[in-house]
Amino acid sequence: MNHSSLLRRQAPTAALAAGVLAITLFVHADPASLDLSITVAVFSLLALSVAASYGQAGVLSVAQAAFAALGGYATAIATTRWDLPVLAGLAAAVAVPVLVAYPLARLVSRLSHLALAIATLVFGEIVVILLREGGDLTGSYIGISAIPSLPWAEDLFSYHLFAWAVVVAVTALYANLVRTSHGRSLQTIRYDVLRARADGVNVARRTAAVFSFSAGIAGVAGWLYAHHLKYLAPESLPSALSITAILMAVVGGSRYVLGPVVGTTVLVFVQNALPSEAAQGLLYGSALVVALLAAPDGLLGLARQAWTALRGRPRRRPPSPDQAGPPTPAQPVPEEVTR
Amino acid sequence: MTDVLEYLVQSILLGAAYGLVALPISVVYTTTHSVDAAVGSHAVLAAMTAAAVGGLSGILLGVAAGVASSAVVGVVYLLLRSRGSVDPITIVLATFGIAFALQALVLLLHGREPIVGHGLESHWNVAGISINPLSVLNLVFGLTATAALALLLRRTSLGRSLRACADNAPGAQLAGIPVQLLQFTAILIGGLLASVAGVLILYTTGVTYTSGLHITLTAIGAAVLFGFRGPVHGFVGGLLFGVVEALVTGYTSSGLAAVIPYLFIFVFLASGRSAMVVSRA
Repeated sequence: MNHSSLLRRQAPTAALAAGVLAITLFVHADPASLDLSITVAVFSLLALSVAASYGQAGVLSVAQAAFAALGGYATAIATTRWDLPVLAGLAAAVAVPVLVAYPLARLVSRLSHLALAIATLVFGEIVVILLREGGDLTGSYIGISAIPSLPWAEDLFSYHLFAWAVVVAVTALYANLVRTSHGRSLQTIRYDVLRARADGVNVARRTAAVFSFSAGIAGVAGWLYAHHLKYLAPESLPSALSITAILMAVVGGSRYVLGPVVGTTVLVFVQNALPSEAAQGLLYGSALVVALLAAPDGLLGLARQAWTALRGRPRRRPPSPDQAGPPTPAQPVPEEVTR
Repeated sequence: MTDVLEYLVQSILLGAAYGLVALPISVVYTTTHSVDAAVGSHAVLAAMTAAAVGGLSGILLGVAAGVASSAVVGVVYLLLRSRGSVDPITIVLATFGIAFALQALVLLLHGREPIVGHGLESHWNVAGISINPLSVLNLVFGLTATAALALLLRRTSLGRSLRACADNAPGAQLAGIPVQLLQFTAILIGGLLASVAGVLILYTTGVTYTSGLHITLTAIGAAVLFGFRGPVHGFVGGLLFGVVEALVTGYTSSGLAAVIPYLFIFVFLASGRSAMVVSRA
């Protein structure tokens, strides 16, 4: 790995970091905007976790909110019930979803994608019920309150910076993943399972690994959520949020590294402008349908199409997941093949 | 003993409504190899309309509203299909979107209060068991619809064409079967059955604007239980589901029992007994 390939690989991360800095300049003085920005960061992580499994391996998990809830509850219980430090809470918030997700994925990963989506949806419902019936440990219906704040991010502004730093770090990891042989094998699984097997990929194990990786990201989102709001209830992260997270990833472009963050930003801002839950539901539902119909590659896919159109060339091939902009030499595109 | 019997009878009557919503799932799956995740929402929409208008005309309008919303699903399905080969998961996602929008629509028009129909107050007393006549209607409707659907799929040429669409769409197209029209029809039939089920549920247990997802999951669970083998299996799955749920809520006090129906679906899916598994093996 030389420096230039590292730069190319991490271009989306750099773009994200620049974007965050630019936005920070606008929001730093206004508490409401800072709060909104933290919400965007948390949901971006959730959408990133969807993109990691659905965008890369084509495995749609409708349980990401449940994994986030597991992570959030893990840290809430560790820090309030057992008085552990918040970093131990972070370890628990990642470990619990990962450890739950791996065997779960081994169980369901041989299912068809449709059955797997249903199984994960059912799993999410089970988690909500278990949290509600968890007695003193989970606080039942009332949930857990007085979750400590992060000592290094006590005020909104530093929490905003910290939350986005986490998003940038996860994006960097994710951008790395999609360009490794690991990531390539996942993309093969997405398009052709048989081919992946013929390539010597252990499909079940690889799928389970990406599934628990995405559960771990969701756990981090739950951790950030819990320490930001300082309160968690079974309905804080409901199943409907899993579907919202899928929507965010799909609207932004689930196969692009930055797609989930873009989708989340757009949808949270639009949602913020809408008055009622009903209006938001109508928007979300129709946005998902319109996105699937009009822009199956998401907003970033549209932007890329527009970019290629501007440069006067027809689109030559479907976008590869690690490119947010025009094609780079790292993935050679045959130059004048199309004409 | 009467207790057990009463639970069983009641649960079979409730299960009949579940069986009825399992039918749309299996009809749509038989013809499109995908699932309409908005079936529960068609049912809730039908129930809301029926309750708002009231009476027989309300029931008819409710069913019409449910069919209309399934027509939206049908149009979206055809549009997605016209974009080339789409995997079933994309279609499920789109129907989730429609379910979201329908749920919001019900919230907008009706609000958060539960929607309950006021039917007959009288109860039949059969051998010491009190039975709500309306829930008997569930069973009658369920059995009729299942039998009609099974006959339609197995004995008529329309049924053969419907099955051909799922088994081999290009082949069916080449044989002169209007595949897209039939898939659209299947989604409409599904919407019709779901709406009837919605009206029946309105008069037995009632619904709220969030019931859609639960109804869909129950329907999928019922259809999955015997592996998507057709309407009869789906209906029996629904009955079994109702029995399990009623016995669990009847004999345990803990709210934890609510997990059991979900665990049921999960175990059946994970054990690979469902026909859905095949497509990736």
